[in-house]
Amino acid sequence: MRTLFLIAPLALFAGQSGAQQKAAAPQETVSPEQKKLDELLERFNQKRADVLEAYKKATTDDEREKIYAGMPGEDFIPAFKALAVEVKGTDAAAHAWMWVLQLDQDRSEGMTEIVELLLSEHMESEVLADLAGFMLFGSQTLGQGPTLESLDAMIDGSSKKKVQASALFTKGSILLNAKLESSRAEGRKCMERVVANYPGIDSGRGTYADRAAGSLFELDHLQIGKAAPDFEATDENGVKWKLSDYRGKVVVVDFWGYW
Amino acid sequence: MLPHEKELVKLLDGKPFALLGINSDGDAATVKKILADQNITWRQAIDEDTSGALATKWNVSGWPTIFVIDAKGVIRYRDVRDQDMEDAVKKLLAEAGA
Repeated sequence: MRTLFLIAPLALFAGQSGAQQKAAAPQETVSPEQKKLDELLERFNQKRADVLEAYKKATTDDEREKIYAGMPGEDFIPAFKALAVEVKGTDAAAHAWMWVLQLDQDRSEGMTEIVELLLSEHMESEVLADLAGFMLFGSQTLGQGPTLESLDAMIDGSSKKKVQASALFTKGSILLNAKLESSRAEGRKCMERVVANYPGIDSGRGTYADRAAGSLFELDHLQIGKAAPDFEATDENGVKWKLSDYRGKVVVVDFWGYW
Repeated sequence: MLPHEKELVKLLDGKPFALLGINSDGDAATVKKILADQNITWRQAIDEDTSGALATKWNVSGWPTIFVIDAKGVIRYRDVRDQDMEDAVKKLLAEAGA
């Protein structure tokens, strides 16, 4: 059983397959630049599928390690970059720049410049919702000050609800982890705004509002020393049970998966 | 994780202790098969996937995520694994006089 962190960068772009992008716009005619992006994504996904297929067939850990090293990643950066430059200013360019950011594990591609470019040329693109999500990890490279400035620029500058929600959620997540009490209080306000003003907007793993509510719930009820909030659940046989059924016992609540 | 959890459940059989799994592998049938294959006997909640209702409500974004709760229902430890989890549980059992 492996540990799974959903917020790992790999999961970020795994949720953004070309198929999903195509499915989002079924009726529109595909622009030439979008077609180029789709072709590149198809090459990327094909290589990924090939590696995973080979990985499944491998019999030793040594073999697996070697095969896994062949996963598409930074080797695709030049192609995404070239495409972004070629189709400059289009939505496909914004997507391509996002891929450069996400594939750039060693942060050598000038994140500050790419972020500035996305903010100045693509403020109305929904891709900025991905950028805002990405900034949760990117803030280490970008610095907290510039990260928060960029997020504010998106909250105030984009007319897209999804971009606003994503930027506000990331801002809240960053501030809730801050040392300063006043920053944490501001983080709480961000999350409260997401819950109140942005219901029903999908983030790729639940809605922003539900995730913000989760953050607030954790803050208020799931800290050490707090009474564990009761919940009702159904087991694999359809039998309902509650956490409070186990009062009087020492209990381990284990969120797990066998993957 | 799993081997240690199985050991713990066996070791503390008869004590006022419960291991409750909140599973994100899929529907009841999927989980049932995993439980049978892996010989997992403790109580489970079917939470469907990683965006399941309980995982979302409890703000879980990494798996496994663990809470250790004392006999009075107070959260006492978070994200303790393996030996640390065992030590935490034993300490709380001793506290409860069990």
